[in-house]
Amino acid sequence: MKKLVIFFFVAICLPASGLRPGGPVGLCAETPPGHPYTGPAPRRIISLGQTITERIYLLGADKNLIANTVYCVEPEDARHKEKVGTLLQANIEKIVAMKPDLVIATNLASPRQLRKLRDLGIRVVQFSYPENFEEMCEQFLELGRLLGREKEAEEIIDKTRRDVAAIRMKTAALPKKRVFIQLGVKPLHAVTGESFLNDYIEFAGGINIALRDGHGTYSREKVLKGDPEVIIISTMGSSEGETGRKEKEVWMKYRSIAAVRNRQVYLVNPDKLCSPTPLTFVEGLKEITGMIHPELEIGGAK
Amino acid sequence: MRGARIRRWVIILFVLIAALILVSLMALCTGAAGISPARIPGIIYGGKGTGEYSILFDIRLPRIILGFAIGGALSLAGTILQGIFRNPLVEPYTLGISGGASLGVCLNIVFNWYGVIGVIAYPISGFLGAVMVILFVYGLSMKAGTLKTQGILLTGVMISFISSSLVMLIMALSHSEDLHGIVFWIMGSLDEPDMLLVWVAVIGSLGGLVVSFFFCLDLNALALGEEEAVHLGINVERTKRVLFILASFLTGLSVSVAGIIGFVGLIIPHLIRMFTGTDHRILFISAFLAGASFLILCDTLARTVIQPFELPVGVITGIIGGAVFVYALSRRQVSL
Repeated sequence: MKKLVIFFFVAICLPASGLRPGGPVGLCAETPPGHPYTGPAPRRIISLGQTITERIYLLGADKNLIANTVYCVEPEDARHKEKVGTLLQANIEKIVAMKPDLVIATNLASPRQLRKLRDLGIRVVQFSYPENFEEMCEQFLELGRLLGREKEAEEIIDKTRRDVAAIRMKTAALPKKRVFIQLGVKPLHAVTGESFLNDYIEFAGGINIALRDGHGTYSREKVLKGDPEVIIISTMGSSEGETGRKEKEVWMKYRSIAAVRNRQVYLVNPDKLCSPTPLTFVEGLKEITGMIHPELEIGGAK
Repeated sequence: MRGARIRRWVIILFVLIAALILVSLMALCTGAAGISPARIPGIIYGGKGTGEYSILFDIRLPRIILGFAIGGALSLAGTILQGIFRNPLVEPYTLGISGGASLGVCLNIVFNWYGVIGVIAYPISGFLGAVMVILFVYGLSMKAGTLKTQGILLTGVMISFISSSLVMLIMALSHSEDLHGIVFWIMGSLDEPDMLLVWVAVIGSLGGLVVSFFFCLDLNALALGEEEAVHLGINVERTKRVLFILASFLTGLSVSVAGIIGFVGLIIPHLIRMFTGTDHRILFISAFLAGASFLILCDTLARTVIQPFELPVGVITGIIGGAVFVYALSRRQVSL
């Protein structure tokens, strides 16, 4: 009997513990829930997301950034700012102690924590993950307005839009190629039409084979059936490491896929691709375009 | 003999209350903001309106109060259940209550109920999920007017399995943003911004403690065996039914407010039983106080161990609780 009970105890613990680990939490970065603000520019800002930190630097407002998260490593200077936690779980007490006049969070931040901050009278603005390129530009402009750097934001966005338009001009004339961008390995996760990353494929002159596949969990069978001419692997967190390389080896076994025969299976750094600022979006687009249409010689396909 | 026992109980209660006060003060004095303990009296008396006052009373104190309520409720629920089932491995989550609550919250997130009725949807859906499971388990285990304790246990385990599988199914099918909300909630946290919910948890758990007192003698008799208890004139069925519902209510309340925080309800009753013996008259209140201290302590560790990270409190309770439990199991001579 005792054994049976212990067995059951272990059996209960297993699924319960299986519920806890993070899993593929969220893909990338951020929309404002409408916080029109016309007061003086904030002087003590805390950023709770790496993309937000990067954008603040891009806007030249980093002097007012007093703290960020441990994942804010770009640019170099952001590493030396005070740290208040992670993207998901911030240390509320530390934030309050630093007396910020603006906290900018992504939609990955804990809703309870943000509510607590708001209850304590701290201004909190939340940006959700942009659904497409246009939304990313809008968010950047919004951030510019928020930080009193509207002009800088407009200049950057104008340049970004011009760069993107130039690339689109070049790719528009070329035949469309079937593309598959893989985000996760286990489970196999595809970039679909709902994802921000779909814009990379479209702008670079490709057709996403997973365009209409909802939330993105995908199967190898469907990839084989879709027969992509280009496969881009951007596994979360570790494209540089083993996971990405192994995944590439797996794909290379399927000789029936056009991308494998043409040797157009690539690895890309997911950080750059998934959490773009206007600047890195253009770089990422160039890289992807170089992979889909190597003949264009726009970016540096590896 | 009787005087000696009462003296012993008074000492135990005194030690536990002192420990609770000590742990609470420690929790109030430690945190990322680095306010030195020496300055705290000054802040309490003269610092109203300052940021530091706000850190002490709006951030740290609510967590301590909630830790008191949830730790006490889970530990009390564990004591009650181990008493009814006379099984040392039963804990509040064994019966599938937490699984049901998780499922409720997942459905809330996926179907965006919180968008309709606000954040209060989280605790409500969690509680409804827990209640559904309780009714289901209870209904399946009622045979001809008697509650089959072994039946409850097995059904509960299966319900746990089914709900965790359903939660995983929902997670596999949901969008990354929803997924994220689910994971947050499942991790469990005492970081509840709504003071109303905190007070509901306090009143609920203290209420549960009061109700449990009316049944401590019945449970003592039940320890001899159900038949023996009937011969002693105990209404065994009523006792089991009320206590089962009470324990479920306490667990449902805890899970719906704070998410899943494991092991408190399993190990604290065992540890306390080592000191108090199996008399439920002292066991209930001791387990409640010790559970409260334990959770407040774990939460303090969770928010200070790796700054600026804040660990999920379930991580700490799981590690400490699991280690202590294995140790206790290995010491067979201690009656669990």
